[in-house]
Amino acid sequence: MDSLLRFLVRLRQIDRRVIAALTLLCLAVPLKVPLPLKMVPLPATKKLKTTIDELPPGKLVVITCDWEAGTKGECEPLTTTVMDYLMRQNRPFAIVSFAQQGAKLGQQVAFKLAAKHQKEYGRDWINWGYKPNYDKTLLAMMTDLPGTIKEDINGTPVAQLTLMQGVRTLKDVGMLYNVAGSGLLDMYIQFCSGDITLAQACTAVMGPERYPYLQSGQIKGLLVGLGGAAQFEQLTEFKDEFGNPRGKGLQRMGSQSLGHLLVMFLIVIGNLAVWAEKRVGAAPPPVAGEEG
Amino acid sequence: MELRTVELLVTLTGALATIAILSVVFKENALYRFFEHLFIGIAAGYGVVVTWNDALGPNWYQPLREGQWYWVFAPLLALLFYSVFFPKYAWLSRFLISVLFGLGAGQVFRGFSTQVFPQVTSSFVPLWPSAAVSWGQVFSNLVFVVTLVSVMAYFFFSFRHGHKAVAGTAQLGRWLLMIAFGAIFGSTVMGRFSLLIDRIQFLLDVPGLLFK
Amino acid sequence: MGDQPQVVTGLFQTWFSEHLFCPLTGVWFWLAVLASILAFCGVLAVLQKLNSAARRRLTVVCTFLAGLFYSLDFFCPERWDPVQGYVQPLGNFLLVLSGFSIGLGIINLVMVHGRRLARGGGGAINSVAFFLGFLGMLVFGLLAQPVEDGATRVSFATGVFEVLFRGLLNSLDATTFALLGFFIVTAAYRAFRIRTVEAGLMTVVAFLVMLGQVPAGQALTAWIPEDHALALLRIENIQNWLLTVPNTAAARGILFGSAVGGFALSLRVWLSLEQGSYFREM
Repeated sequence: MDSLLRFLVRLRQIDRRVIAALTLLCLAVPLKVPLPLKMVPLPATKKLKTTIDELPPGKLVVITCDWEAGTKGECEPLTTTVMDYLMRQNRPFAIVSFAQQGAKLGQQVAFKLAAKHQKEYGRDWINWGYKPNYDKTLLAMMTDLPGTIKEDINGTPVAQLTLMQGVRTLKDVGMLYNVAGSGLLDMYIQFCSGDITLAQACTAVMGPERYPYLQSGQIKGLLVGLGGAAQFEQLTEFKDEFGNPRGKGLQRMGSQSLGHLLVMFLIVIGNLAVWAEKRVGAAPPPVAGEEG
Repeated sequence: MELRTVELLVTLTGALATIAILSVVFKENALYRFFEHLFIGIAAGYGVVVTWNDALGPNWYQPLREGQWYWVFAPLLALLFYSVFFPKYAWLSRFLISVLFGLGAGQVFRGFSTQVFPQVTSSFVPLWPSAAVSWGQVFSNLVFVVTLVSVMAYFFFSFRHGHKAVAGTAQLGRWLLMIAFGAIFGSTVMGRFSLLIDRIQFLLDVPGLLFK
Repeated sequence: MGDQPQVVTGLFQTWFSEHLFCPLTGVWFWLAVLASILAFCGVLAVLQKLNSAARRRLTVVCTFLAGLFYSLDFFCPERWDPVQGYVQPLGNFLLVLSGFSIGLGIINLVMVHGRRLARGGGGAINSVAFFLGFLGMLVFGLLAQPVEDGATRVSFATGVFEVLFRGLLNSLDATTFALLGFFIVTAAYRAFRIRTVEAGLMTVVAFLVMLGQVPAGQALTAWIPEDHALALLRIENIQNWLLTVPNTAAARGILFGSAVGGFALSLRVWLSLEQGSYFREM
């Protein structure tokens, strides 16, 4: 018993680089050796699919890519899986962004998917680009959409695009799907939720605080983090360009699983070590590798 | 320039940048610092480029070229922002920012009513079973109402929580808040790992991207 | 289209657009631009002559009038809304105005790194990196063209821009945030201590949420059939209940507090009751 306690005390001295290496290993191995795991979709995810399924055919869906490369690991799969489903359902969509990199990152996703589904820019999807001063711009879009957007990213006046026929204000679109890596989601609730069907996807960090809006019906569907993307992929039977039935969300769930188990294990071990320290009566040891 | 060459360079520079930044986990080093500053420079440059291409070009320059002379007022007014660099005129920047604050403040009525009122109405949930409401649902609704009221009591700082009932409710609110914080912590772990997995997958895919 | 409500024209909006804000060409355009610049400079000269108290009064009045704009748009019935027609032009104007404000941050960065470069020394190489990145992206970004669908060649500027954007900016941004993955693991090991009942409760919920979000955790209770009476004990269902019931209520409690606080603060700003350096030093 005493030797076990001393071993636990010694564990507190683990260099943080060892922990980092362990983390790398846990996350990297399942990417190369996929684990046969299945995801169970939650009601929030199912609700988003139902909302999309119930949209009138041909109605424009607006995808706001309010994310930068910093949250690409979560927001890209969240954008990809819904965009892919919209393309499969022949639903036209427009990309717009209030984050500087968002419009171009969203465009990269759309280009890849358009090649897979043989969709044409201008007919099946468009990119309105990046717009600064989000709140006032959003209110302006609610009053006059082509007048605010003016041109798409290729410099074509948006009013001339066939996709924009019948869309005079943001209230004319079928659904607004916000993908955000920042705190812009509240803005859509404040200025759009009464007039437009709203669905949101966000990074996992922001997920828990979005649930009140789902319960109140202000948003009609919610995807949270990579897990949300994986659930939607499972639900909509997503296939990548090679016919592989796993998108980035599902592919990465093995790594995510091991990562979560590692954190739980470390929390338990860390607390056991502190407990052992008290039992043995040892002073807290100096921690190596903390100089960086 | 061949697109294939561009893709190759994108992969190579991407791998180098990723490794340079990740190297800080091992030790703070000069390569990390260099790429960190490069990041700030490129991000700043991209900010200017995308603002011109997607906002100022179509919404300011194009209308001005079409004869809408009044758009000249936009950069003139924006000059007031820059008066912050000249102490004698700096009050003009504060004046402009104050007016913009005022505009933002005016939106609060719309924002508050659209965001908060549905939250209030949807907090009224059935607490008695019926044909449409099961006992299980009633239990959840009870937990919901108790949590909401006690959390609000916990955050009520306008008077001292002297009365036992108020103090007890606030203490219960503190406990129930831990459930929300636990959920946030659990989700945060997921979020942070997702970002790291993305980079690890990119590095693992580099050989395939280079030699495909 | 016919069933869509028309945007109500703002007060004097038609007169303004027909008589004042109408496009001009040739020499008339340049005369109007010149006159605007002169008029603007004249107004600034007059404003600069004001004493501190007058400047403060002017700021208070203009801030209040600005706040009145969106308030009127919200409170007035749609048919009699005097400002609805101006919402889009104002939004457009503010979009452009904020676009022009981007130089503020850039000037600051250039000043900091310019000074460090001039001083030389150890950190100068980092400032060189800043200027390389900034100028490279600025030049090639402005010269770059959108990559056509199915293209096999692009211009040199477009190629360099793609390398800078996708190769460097995306990777650097994504990896900088990815470092948080390492930090959260180290923090979980070194700092997550269960010393109180509250901390214990938080840990249990965190574990349940972590397990419920991933297939490995969901697999733990996958043996319970989805339509069984005990299905509510499946880990994803427990997680969903935690998120949709106690978490939703707690998050809503926090939201009520922050929303009321935000509302009060906005009113204080609108009425210039907020006493910060913005409103004192004029």
